[in-house]
Amino acid sequence: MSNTENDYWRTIALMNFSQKEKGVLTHASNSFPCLDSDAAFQDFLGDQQHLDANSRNLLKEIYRIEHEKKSLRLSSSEMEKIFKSELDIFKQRELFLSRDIELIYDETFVINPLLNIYELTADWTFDGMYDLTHQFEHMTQSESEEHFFLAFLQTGSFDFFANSNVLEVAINEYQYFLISCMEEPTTIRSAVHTFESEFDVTSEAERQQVRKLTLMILRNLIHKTFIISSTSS
Amino acid sequence: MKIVHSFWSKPILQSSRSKNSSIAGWPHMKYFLMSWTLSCLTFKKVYHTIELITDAKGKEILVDKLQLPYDSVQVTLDALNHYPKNLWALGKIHAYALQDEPFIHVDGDVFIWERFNSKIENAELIGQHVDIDTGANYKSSIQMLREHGLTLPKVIETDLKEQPIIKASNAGIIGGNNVDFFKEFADQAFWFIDSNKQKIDVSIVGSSFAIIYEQFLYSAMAREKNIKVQHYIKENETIRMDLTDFMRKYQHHEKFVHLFAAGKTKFASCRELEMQLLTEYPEYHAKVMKLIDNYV
Repeated sequence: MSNTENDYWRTIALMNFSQKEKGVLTHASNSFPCLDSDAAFQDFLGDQQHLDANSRNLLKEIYRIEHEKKSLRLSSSEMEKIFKSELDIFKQRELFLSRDIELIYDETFVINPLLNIYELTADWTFDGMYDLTHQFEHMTQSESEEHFFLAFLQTGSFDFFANSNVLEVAINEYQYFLISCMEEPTTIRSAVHTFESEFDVTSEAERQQVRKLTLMILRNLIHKTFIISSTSS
Repeated sequence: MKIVHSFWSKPILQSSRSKNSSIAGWPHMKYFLMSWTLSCLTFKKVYHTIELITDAKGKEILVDKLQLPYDSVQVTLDALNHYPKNLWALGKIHAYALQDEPFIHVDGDVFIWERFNSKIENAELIGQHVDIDTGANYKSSIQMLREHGLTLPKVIETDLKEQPIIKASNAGIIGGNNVDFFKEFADQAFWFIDSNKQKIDVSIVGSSFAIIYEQFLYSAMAREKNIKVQHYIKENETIRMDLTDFMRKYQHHEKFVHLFAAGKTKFASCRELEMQLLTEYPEYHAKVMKLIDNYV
């Protein structure tokens, strides 16, 4: 697989689908423009008069997101620097996760500065190993009312399969909300309070349930290093 | 309870072109070595003793170079080198047959941070969890073997007739107190392989075959003998929480991770594995990296 086919595999697969090619979709990009050039992509899109607005928007979205992911890739020396700082973050994480979360209520956390989140109209986190015809049919046939969130974390490790140091993770709206609470250094206590106030809780049992869910999500975000202690940022 | 690791190096090392190519499902040799290292060290910490059954090359890598703290090492798996490399699970089965006391064999991609519960430690037979076939794994593997003309053991044929859906124990952890069962199981598995040897070629997918002569045969024999297999992870638990997620280390119970199947290929899992090793055992992380730097 060439670098372009690796970096833009979803864009290429959707382009192939849009061309209504018969048979199983491939990731081959021979008939497409150089995707590293935004202008070439726009020209390609301009030629696709047969596409409806939804299909065009989907193509634009996945191209933008794959282009963005590629631009977040770092050099070896930059990765080395991140790897060293990650070690401190993971050591701190170990301490936080080993304790009951109630014991770290007053610890201050902030969004990992290497985290980038995108709000999207489609779920692009499917497995490229399989034929995507069915998924693309579903996506292009009706405009989605839903919102999806995709996180790209620049790491100090190298993904040998994707040829990138960027970790891609789908997140849900609750995770997104709690991450957003941490744009400025914020205590766990404050984030819990903000999150819980979004729910119309009518009983103590419900309140406990929401609290349990909130803490579970926060522990998970600490584990993923999407939020880090403000002393490490 | 005795913990056992087995590493038959031939199938693994012959399948990898260089240290930078993927190996045994891992995207890079370093993660393969880190996995064995973290597995040995976490079990050593929890159970204090761990035995290794391997071949000469395996001992050279895990013991002489990485200096993993195994309490005993048996170098016996070179005896399997006449088998083709796609039969990689034979090393494990040979290791089960060598046991003369209650044991738990754990794969090199399994990690724990607390003892198994007493139900597991006292059980006659154990497994990790129940694999329930969707048709895409066990049934299609059986079909593949039939197409190659292999003769299946009678116990498997009977089980196929009696069970509407194939259920088999995942062997990420396997063992128990009934060591005689394992000797008989190993005899059956080797008979299955040896009696079909002429029909086993490179077109048989190793992992698809292994789930039959290891996991399915084990479970079918236990059913035939009416012996209950105690599973560590309950069915609903495998659905609720991903066994490959290191977040399991920080939960209140079953602090257990198995990077099986596609778990090894995920970037997030590999990164997490390295960071776990680096934060808990930095000196061993350094040994792995040194070995990788000098690996030819």
